[in-house]
This record gives sequence, structure tokens and C-alpha cells, in this order.
Amino acid sequence: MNDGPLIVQSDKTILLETGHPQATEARHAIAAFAELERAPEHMHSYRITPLGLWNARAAGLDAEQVLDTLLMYSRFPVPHPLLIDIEEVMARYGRLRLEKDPIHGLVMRTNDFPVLEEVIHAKKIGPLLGPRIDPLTVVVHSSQRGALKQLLLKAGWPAEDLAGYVDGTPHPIALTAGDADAVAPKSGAWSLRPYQNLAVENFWAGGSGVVVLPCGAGKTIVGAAAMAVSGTTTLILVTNTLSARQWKAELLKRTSLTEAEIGEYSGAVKEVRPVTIATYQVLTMRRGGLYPHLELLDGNDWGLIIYDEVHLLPAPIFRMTADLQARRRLGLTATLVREDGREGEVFSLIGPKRYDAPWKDIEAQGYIAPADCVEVRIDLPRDERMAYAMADDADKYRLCASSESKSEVVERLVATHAGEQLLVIGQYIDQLDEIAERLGAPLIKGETSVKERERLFDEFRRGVIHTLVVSKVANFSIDLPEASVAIQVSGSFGSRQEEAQRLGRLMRPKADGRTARFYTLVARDTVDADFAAKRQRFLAEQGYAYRIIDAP
Amino acid sequence: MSTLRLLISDLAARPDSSLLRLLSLRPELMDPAAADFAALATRASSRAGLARALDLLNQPQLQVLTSLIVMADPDSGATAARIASAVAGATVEQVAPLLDQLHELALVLHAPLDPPDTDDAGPRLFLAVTSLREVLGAHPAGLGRNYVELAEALPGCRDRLAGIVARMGHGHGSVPGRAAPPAGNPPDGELARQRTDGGPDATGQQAGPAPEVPGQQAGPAPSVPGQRTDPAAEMQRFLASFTGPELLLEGAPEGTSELLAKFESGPMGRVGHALRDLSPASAPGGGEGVSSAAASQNAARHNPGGAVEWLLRRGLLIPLDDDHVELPREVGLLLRHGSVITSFAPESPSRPAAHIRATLRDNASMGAVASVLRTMARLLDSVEDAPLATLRAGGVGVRSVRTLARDLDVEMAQSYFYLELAAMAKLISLDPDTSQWRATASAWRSRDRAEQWLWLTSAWLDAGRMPSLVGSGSPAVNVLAGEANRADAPALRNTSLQVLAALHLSLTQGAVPATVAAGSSQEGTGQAIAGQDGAGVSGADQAAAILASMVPAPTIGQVLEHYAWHHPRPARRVANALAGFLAEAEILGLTGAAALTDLGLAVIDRDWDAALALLTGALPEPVEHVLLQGDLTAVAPGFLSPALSAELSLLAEPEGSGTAGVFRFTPASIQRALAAGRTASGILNFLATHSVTPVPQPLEYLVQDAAARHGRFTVGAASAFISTENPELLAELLAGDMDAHLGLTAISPTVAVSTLTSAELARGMLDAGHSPALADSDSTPEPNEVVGGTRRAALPAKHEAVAPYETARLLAAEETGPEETGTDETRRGNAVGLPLGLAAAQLNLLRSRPAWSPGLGESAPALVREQLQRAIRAGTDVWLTTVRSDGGPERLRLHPVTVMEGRVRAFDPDRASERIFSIHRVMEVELIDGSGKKGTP
Repeated sequence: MNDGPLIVQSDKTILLETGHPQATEARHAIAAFAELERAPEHMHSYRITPLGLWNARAAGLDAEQVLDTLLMYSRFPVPHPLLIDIEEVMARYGRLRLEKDPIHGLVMRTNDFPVLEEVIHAKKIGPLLGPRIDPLTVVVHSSQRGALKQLLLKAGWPAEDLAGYVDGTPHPIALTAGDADAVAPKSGAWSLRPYQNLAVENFWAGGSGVVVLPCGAGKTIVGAAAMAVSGTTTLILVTNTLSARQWKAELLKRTSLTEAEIGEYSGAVKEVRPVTIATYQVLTMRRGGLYPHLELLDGNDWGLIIYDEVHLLPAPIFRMTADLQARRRLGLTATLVREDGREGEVFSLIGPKRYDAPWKDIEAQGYIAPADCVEVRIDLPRDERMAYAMADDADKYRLCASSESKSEVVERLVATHAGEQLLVIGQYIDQLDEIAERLGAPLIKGETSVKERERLFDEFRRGVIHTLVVSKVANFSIDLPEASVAIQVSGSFGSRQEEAQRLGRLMRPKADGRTARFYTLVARDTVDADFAAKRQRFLAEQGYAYRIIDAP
Repeated sequence: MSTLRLLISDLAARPDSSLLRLLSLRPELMDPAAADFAALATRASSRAGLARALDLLNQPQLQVLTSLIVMADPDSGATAARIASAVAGATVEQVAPLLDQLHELALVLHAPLDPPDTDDAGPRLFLAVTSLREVLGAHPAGLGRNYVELAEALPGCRDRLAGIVARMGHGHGSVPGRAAPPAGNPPDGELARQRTDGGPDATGQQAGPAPEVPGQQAGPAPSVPGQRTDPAAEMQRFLASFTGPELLLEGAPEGTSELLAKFESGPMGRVGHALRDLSPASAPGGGEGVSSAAASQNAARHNPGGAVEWLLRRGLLIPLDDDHVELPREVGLLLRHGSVITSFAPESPSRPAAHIRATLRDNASMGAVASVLRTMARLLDSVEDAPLATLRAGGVGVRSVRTLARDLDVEMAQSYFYLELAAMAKLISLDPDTSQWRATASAWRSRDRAEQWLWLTSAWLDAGRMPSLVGSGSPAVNVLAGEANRADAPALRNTSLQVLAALHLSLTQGAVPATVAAGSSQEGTGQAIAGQDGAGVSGADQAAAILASMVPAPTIGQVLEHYAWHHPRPARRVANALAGFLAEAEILGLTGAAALTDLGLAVIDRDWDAALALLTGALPEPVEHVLLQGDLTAVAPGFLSPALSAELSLLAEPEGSGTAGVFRFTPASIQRALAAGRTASGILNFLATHSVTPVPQPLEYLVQDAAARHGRFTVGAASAFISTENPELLAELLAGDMDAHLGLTAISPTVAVSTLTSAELARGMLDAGHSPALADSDSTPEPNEVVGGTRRAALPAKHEAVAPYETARLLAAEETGPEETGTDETRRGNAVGLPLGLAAAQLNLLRSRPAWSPGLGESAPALVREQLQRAIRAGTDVWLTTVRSDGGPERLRLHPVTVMEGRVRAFDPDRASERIFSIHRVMEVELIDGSGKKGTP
């Protein structure tokens, strides 16, 4: 009997015993084709999905290698039906190939006549195709390359895209990376971390795709490095203006680009430069049934398009991205969990996942700060409890989440962490107003102007102010390196990735190697507790187990 | 000579070892135990017994037997050489051992030596058991009846033949019409010589390939020149003068050979207007079609110059009626150049099979074993919770099965099989009172896993059902319905598996290398499972090492092909069932990725101990610990011991399916456990004891939090209450009820409840000297059944404590005592797994009695029938002693006409009328020799 670290279940999950001597080896082997689903302390679980298997095929792995890996590391017999399934699923990839033909332009080729027949006769796919050249080849309208790939994936016959990419306008970009200690970003000199390097290499080798790295692990630098390798004009799509500014600052610091070469394309400014940073919002702005800024994507000869926070990519951008299949695309995210379940579209339109690392791995290497998550359970006072019990269902969550007793607890927690850089994060503005008043701390919310936000964040970074109260505007892409304590008073119902992103604000490694602390305040015996449990699931599965304490 | 009498003495004369072997090969002969050798012989030569025995035969055995039946005289038999001569490609050396095997099976007998006391009177003569002719069918080897039989059976046929003989002019012992070959067309010299000097007698003595007219009248056919000759015999003699079909068909119209080729598989054909008048001369014309039975009508147009006309004119096709013709046996044999069997198949077919890695096979097999046990345990849980209702049409409805399949996380077709398997192993049974399938209280669950598996598998081996039929047909067969019963399922299943085993052994021992190496390197993509990692492997040693680790994985087609060789007769029946058998064997883990495993081999050999040993070595030990994690899950890294698994299933929700158990703790699951009587500290203790990791803080918190919320309400059962204004009175009552007759519980100072009904309570209180008033009747609680989520008790009645594979062993132990076990050889040969003890007991019984007591026992009617048949065949009269309706015997001289359906029809010359007797009333039959050949005595 084998004594490997894996247990392959018949429900297509793989359990990995982390304490096993071969665990690391096995993890690297299976990461190529299985999606990490949960990574708690002792048993990580991976899932074998068609998408993951096709990813592996795209990366050059064949079914035999996958089966060998499973058989080699598995402790118990691997269910045979699963092996057959893997073989069949992997055999579906690449039966159809998108290729460049010198005469006909973009064509779809196959060696398997029935498969081509099947897709040609599919109702949705047929219209995207042009005339048949020979029994095994059909012309594809080049504008439909993305849409076709997407539909083929849905039909279960993912196409291998061998048609290549346009070069884009050359624009040399160099990194300012030196050889100094990588862990100390403040020192001015820096270098690419090994995993960042690997991510860029994987991406470039694959052409297009998504890189998944935890918050604070330096995704911007991966983007910058990709630009440097590409050496072309680049379009960067980000979630909001503030994030755009941070990208700009980071690019100025990390690359040879100058202020004049980087343009911002947002609600406020509309500059198109060799490197342009645009927000999703402005691109998806609709006027009179048209997207006036859409031509930015296609009107310029970009060599590379970077999608920041690709898990938030709005549907219109997906549609537009479908038309951009000839350009290299890089998606960046910390949590490729889409609450709308569109991971398949990310795969077919941006590209397969090219790099992924468990958060705890990066933490172990010291590139992100260790974090301690604490759930504080609060008993509602009797009158609030009664009010909650009598309230309409629609109001229940707001009532318990914004309980006054939470404010008192916040006050006490802030007192215990005096002197540390501390964030209070919440959902309800009333509640945040009250807390800000109690603590005498500034509040950043939706109506705060961009200028004011920048000022406050800047002061916080410099340590002028220690405590900042923020609404959900600070969920993403806000780089606050020295924040080490966060108190979440309320969250948006059960959103898993919000919780992860909020924790992510604390994950920049601290100068003194401190452990970050994340408090989440939960009213006992209410729906708040249920939602909290749901939100925590992603983090718990990433190995961030919550401690639960009663309110001090 | 009666073969039955011969068989009785043959059996009685056999040594013990031979009898034991017969009984192990044909175990139905001793079920129930046969009283004496006569009974045994009767059973062995009964039609049913012979049909089963023929199913056992392999291709060459059947071919030799067929040849014997066609070639040998039914009374005197034939020599091995003569039998071999009718099997193309066979030598006497090949045929002799086959005849011995058939003899061992009691299908072929040694004809008595004549005179009986001479020791070495030439070669031994073999004789087939009489009823074999009927069991093999009217057309053995696809040959028709001979001329004599046809002339007997068909009215008008004899006259027709006589006309043909007269017209052709070959009615006087020579063949004048064809004696001299037409000039300018000289035939092959040797053939011509043989044809001209060779009368029937000359060819008859030749042991070579020269055809000889076989059949019942071949020997004693009267051929005295000058006497009025029988046209059928004339035809036989005419045909016997040819050595091959070429000369016979000389001058035939075009298309005759093609037409005759259609009679290869069967002698019957359909033509139009077969009874045409043949007297007018025919004019040559175009071809005319004929076809085996199902041909189209237009092919059968009457065409005077066609092949059919030509053949009919020469008597080479005999019309049966106006639409059908039969090819006489003599012609059929001639067309086959004298061979009954045209292609002898002494060896099983050998085609190279695909090979897979042994590791892959073992992985698949062990995975299947684990999965079967896991699924079966879940199925039993599920059926225990929700018994399956049967439909009026029989079986369980699709809807209930779909729910079950979802529970078990298997496909519908598989869930059918699992349900059938559970029923085969008697783990679930039909409760006749409720018409529900319920889990039986079986010892299965408490067995260890290897024994559980063997329990299931041994039940499957001998089950008289075919689960693969479920869901097929229209209307579809329901699962557990009677329509899937097949009496021959065990035999077909076992023979299929034995063929699989034989094929496996022949492929592993046979020449594997070259073909396999070529085959596997040609495998394309998508064949990774079957392939081998050929990357950089070039050295011969490495290739050899890889080959050594490869095992054959034959396809269904290959297994079927082998089945058709090993058991040609049931092959067509098994063709539909084989896919099901093999799929089920795969689910059970007897095969892995279509390759037979060592475990499967042991099971097929019914070597239970070896199977248990293999399995126990391969199944991992159950784990007794779990890993508790911060995301509120517990993971058992392996097969969890059942007790632990049950407790965890109570505390947490099982998630997913597979070898390892994953459980998720939720507030609801903890509350469920608390409701089942667990305490918070008890749960935490349990977790701490069985976890190899510390209990995570959130889990501890969850348990305590749930416990704090538990028990805010208390629910109890009561059926009557007492209320009073006066608390003291109630206290007095409670204090007075020391023996708890009234079953009272105070729930407040002025209210108490009782488990008695209100009437009983009132009576009890009256007895105690109180005088209660009854509350309004509508508020009186009625005794009520407790309903809810309690598990229904398993059916207690039939306690299944013994696994199917153990019953045989227990029986054997009872019969023979533990020290007597068979040798390995006999055990392996014991096909259907009957214990040797039974055979030994049967043998003792047989040896303790006289071989035959005349007129008694099972054999009597069979003997009577055989005697009568012989008399009919020979056309002789008999003395028949029968029982009159008043019970007295009656002795009659009769001329028997037919024997069928248990009755004999005979002509009574005294009364000049026909009479019919039941065979069971006939006491004795004596043949009267020398009576007239035909009809009237």
C-alpha cells in the first residue's frame, strides 16, 4: 500500500495532508491541474474541474502525466471512473484549434471531423463561422474569436488558440529592480521576488492568462514586470481612480517610465499615453445606448492589456474583451472567486490561470504579514434584542449589525491598540459616523472627495493619524502598508471576497515583522452571526482560522 | 441395445474418482440425491439433464459429439477413426481424448463388445446417449435428414423418388446415366475410377475421406439385386458413388453451386412451387433463386431451366411442401466433401488483447472494492431510514430509486445494481405486510471489510437474477421486480467468469511480448490509461520489465469469442448478458479496468480463503482518528472505523464521498447531537480523544454556544393530566403514588401529567380513594403513536448471520467433518461450488444399493420409452404389459407407431384399431424379433 500525501475522493476532490513529508512535492504536482478549494491547517482540498484540466492541457500537460501524478502520490486507490473521466475531459481540449491561415485569415481546424460537425451545427456557434474551406477547416470571423472561444468552452470543446497575438506598438519599458533584499521594499532598491518572477514567466509563456496572488503580495509589480517583458504600449484597467493613481505611483517607482508616458483615463482626466490607466467605470459608462469610451480599447494598438482585480470585471468589459483576443491579456486578482460564478468566462476570455499560490505559502516565505483573525461575539442588550426580535426581516441585519454596543467595543479595542495604525471598516454610514465621532477619527466614505481621500490616506501612511474610519470605498486596491489592525464592524451580508479583501489591507509586511490583527464584531444569536460565518469561509479555507472571543 | 441400460452398467462400473468428477461437473444429477445408479443414469440421459450437459461442452467436444451422432449407427456405434474422418482437420489422436471427456460426462458410451467376453476385438466403438439426438435438434451440424428418413416422413416422397430413379435410370446398382463421362470432358482420373468400380460396399469399408452414406439405414439397407428396391436406398447408393460435389454437379445450370452454398448453415430452404410436376422435359434457361427460409418471394419464381429445377429433377432437393425444400443429408455431406464438421477448432481462438499496467488494474480494483462497501453501507442506512415501497406492477419505482441514487451519489444504472446486490445478499428483504423493501437485521455490518465484500460477491455469483435487465425492455423492468429473475443466471454468470479466467491465464502465460509492444506504442492520444510511459524507454531490459508489469484487458468481444469456443451452445444466450456480467464484475472489483485481478481469480475459483487473505492484505486498516480543522471540519484520512463514523455522522454533516470521510460541524448538527442525548462536555471529550490535532477554538466555541441554546424548551410525552386548585392535594397524591402506578410527573404545583390514559388514571385514582372529575371529552388526550424521526426498527424476523460463501462451507463441514477436504484439483474443477461432501454422500448412497431394480424408480418410464422408440425404429412389434384401469396387468401384442408427450400410440392388430397408452402405466416392453418389416404383423 502506497503511503502518499494525497487522498483522491470519488467526488473529484483531492485531499492533501499538509504534514506529510511529500506534501510540498505533491502540491506542486497537482497544482497544475486541480484548483485549490480549501486550505485549512491540516488537510487542503483541491478540486478537479474540466476548467482546471483544460488549463493543464493549455500548459502542456497530458492526461497520462495527470494520472501518473495521482497514482504516484495517492495513499488509497484512485477511483477508476475518475481516471477515465480525466482522460476524456482532457482529450476534449485542442480537438479544435484556432489558427492563422495565410489566405483565409483566422480559421478553425480539427482532426476530428464529427466534432467540427457538431459545433458547426450548434445553434449559437454556427453564425460565428464563415465558409468551410475543406472538411476539417472552417473560416472564423476574426471579430468573433473571443465569442467563439467562449461558446466552444460552454459546449465542452475548448479550442486551443494558436493564432498568436499582434505585437502592438513597441515602447521599451525597463524595471528599476536592483539586487537588494527583496523583503524590504522601503529601502529603495528592490528586486523581483521568486514567485513574481515565476508568475511573469508563466504568463508570458502562455500568452494570456490570470495570475492569482494574495493581497499585499505585489501584484502591481507582476504587472510592471509583464510590461517590461512585453516592451509595448499597455492599457491597464483598474477598479477606481484612487487605484489608478496608486498604479501610476508604483509604475513610476518600479519602472523606467516617466510621468509623461503614463496617462490616466478616468472620470476626471482623459489622457491617452503609451501606458494608459483606465477605470472600469469610465469604460462602462453609457450614454444614449452607446459606450463612448469603448474605442479606447480597440482604437489604439496596445501590445498588452492588464485587468486589475479581474474578479470584479464587469459584464460589459467581458463583452468588449471578447473582441480583443489578438492582444495579450493579463488578469490579476487575489481571490478568483466570482460571486456570479463567471470563472469560465475569465478562463475563455482573459485566459487560463497561469499562477496561483496559497496565501499561507507566501506568508511562510515572509512576503505578506502573518495575520490573526478574531471574531468578537457581542451580546445585544435586552432592549436591542427585543427590537431585533420584533423587526421585519428586511431590517434585521441592519439592526444587529449596527448595534450600539458594537461602538463601545470598538472604543475599547482601539484603546488596547493605542499607537498602532488602525482601520475601522463598516457598511452602514450612520454607524461609521457615530464611531468616527466617538473616536475622534476622520471618516472616508463615498462622498469624500478624491483629493480629501488622498490626503487622509497619505497622512495615515506617514503616521500622522493613527486611526481611520472607512466605508466600503476602501475595500480594494488601497495600499496602506503600515496598517496593522483592522476592526470590521459590519460587512455586506455574506460576501466572501469582501472579507478577504479587507483582511488584505493589512497584509503588507510590516517593517518590524508584526502580526496583523483583524477583528470582526458579530452580534450573537442574530443573522449577523450567520453572515459572518459565511464571510469567514473563504479565509478559513485559506487557513486563516478565526479565534472567537466574547466581547471584552 | 438400450443406451440407458448401458449407461447404468457403465456408471456402476466406474471408479469412485470418475463418479466424483461426473457429479462435480453435473451437480444437478444429485439434487436431490439419486436413489440408485438407474436413477442417476435416467437423470443423466433425460432431455433436461442433457441440455445442461451440452451447455458445458466446448467447441471441439461439441464438434466431435455432433460428428458421432451423424456418423454412428445408433445401435452399434462408431470407432474414433470413423468419427475423426468426418471432422475436417482432426486426427484420431485429437479426437480420442475428446471422446474420453464426453464419456466422463456420460454423454458418450462404449458400445458393448460383441461377443462380450473377448478382450481385444479391434477398436472400441462409441455410442451417443439416445436422447442426445433430440436435444441436439433435427439438423445436427446443419445437415438435413437422409433419404430414408425423408421417404418415411413425407407422404408421396417415396413415389417421387421412385419416379426420379426410374427416369435417371440409376436404379440397378449401377449408374448407367452417368457411368461414362461425356466425351471431351474427362473427369479427374482417380475420381472416375473410384466412381466406376466403387459400389456402396467398397466405399463403406474405407476409413479415408471417401464419403459414406451414414444414417440409420446405412448398414442393414437391403440391396439385394433383383428385389424390388427402395428408391431412397437407390438414391443413397447413387450418391455414395461420388467422391466430391464436382461430378455430381456436372452439367448443372449456372448458379447451382451458389444456391447450394446457402444450405451451409441449415438444410431447409424456401422456393416457389416446390411440388412442381417434373415429368415434362425442361428447357435450359436463366438462373433461379432459392434462399434459406426467409428469402423474398420473387426469388422463387418457377423457372424451368433454373438450378432449383435441376436439383429437384435429380432428387438432390426434396420438397417438403409446395414452398419448402430440404437438402438430404447425403447431398449435404457430399457438398462438404464428406465432413460433418468443416472446420475443427481444437484450440481456443487467440488474438492479442490490449494490455494495461498491473498497478492501474489493482488501483481500479481496490478502488472499486472500497467503493462497493461504502456505497452498500450508505444504501443500507438510507433504506433503514426510508424503506422502499413496491409498485403494484412489481419492483421499486423509478422515483424512489432516483432519490436513492442521489443519496448514494451514483448513477441510476449503478443504483439498480446496488439495490439488486443488497437483495441478493439478503441485506434488504421484502416485508410482506407493508410491501416495502427494508433492511434486514444482518450480521453483515459487523463483519470486517474483507468478509463484507466476500459476502456480497459470493451472493452475486449464485444469484438467479440479472440486474442488467433492469431498466431495459418496454415497459422497462423495475428494479427488484420479478421480470429480472433468470434461472440460468448463475450458470451463465459462472461460465462467463470462468471463460474470463481461462482467457486471462492463456493471455498471461501465452506469448505476450511482440504484439503487445507493437500495440501499445501505436496507441494514440487519449489512451493514457492503456498506455505505458514510453518516454525515453528504449533498452530491452526496460521494455521487458514494463511487459512483465502489464496485464491483459480483453474486450467484451474477445470474451464473447472465447465463450463461443468454451461453451458454444449457451453463447447466444450469454451474448446479451455478458456486458452486464462484466460491468458488474468491474463494480465489484473482480476486474480492474477490464483486466482480471488475482482477487477475481480466487473468487472465480471459489477459493474463499485466498480471496480473504488477498483482500485483508490490500485493504488499509480502519483509522481511529480524525483531523479537526479551523474551518469546522473533521477529516478522517482513510476508512474510518464504523463506530467512530456513526458518532461523527451524528455530530456533523458528512460531506462529499470517497475513501476519506469529511465532516462539517454546524450549529444544527451539534444541536441534533445534543437532542440525541450528548452533552457539550461529552462531545468535546469525544473530539479531543479522537483527534490527533488539538480541538480548534472556533469548534469548541460552536459546541458550547449550541449547548447554551439547547434545552430552553423541554418536550415530554404524556397522555392524561391532573389539575387541581389545591397544591397540597396534588402533593399528597404524588406522595401516595409510591409505586408509580399512575406514572405521574408534576409539572407545576397544581398540574401533573401521567403516561396512563385518562380513563386508566381516573380508575387508579378512584382505587386510591380520590374522586376525580373527567375533563371534557374533546380535551381528553387520546393515546397517540409516537411519530417522528426515530429510525424504524429493522426487520427482526430473518436474521442473516451467515454469508453466502460460508453456507457451502458449513454444509460441507456438517456432511464430512472438518478434516475431509478435497484436493486442490477437485476443488478447482468444482464449477458451481457444491461442497465435495455432498458428492461423497451421493457416492456412498449409490454404492450401498444395487445398480438397478427393474420396474422401479425413476428409470422405468425412460426405459419403456427407449424400448418403444427402438421398436418403432426397427418396425417391430412388441409385447406390452400395461396396467388396466382396474389395476390389473394386461399383456398385449402391439405395433407401436409414435411416442410423444408421455404417451405411446400403437396399432392393435387384434382389434384392428389404434390405441393410446400412458407411458407411466406401461410396466414392461418386450421386442418381438422377426416380425414383418412394415405395418401389419
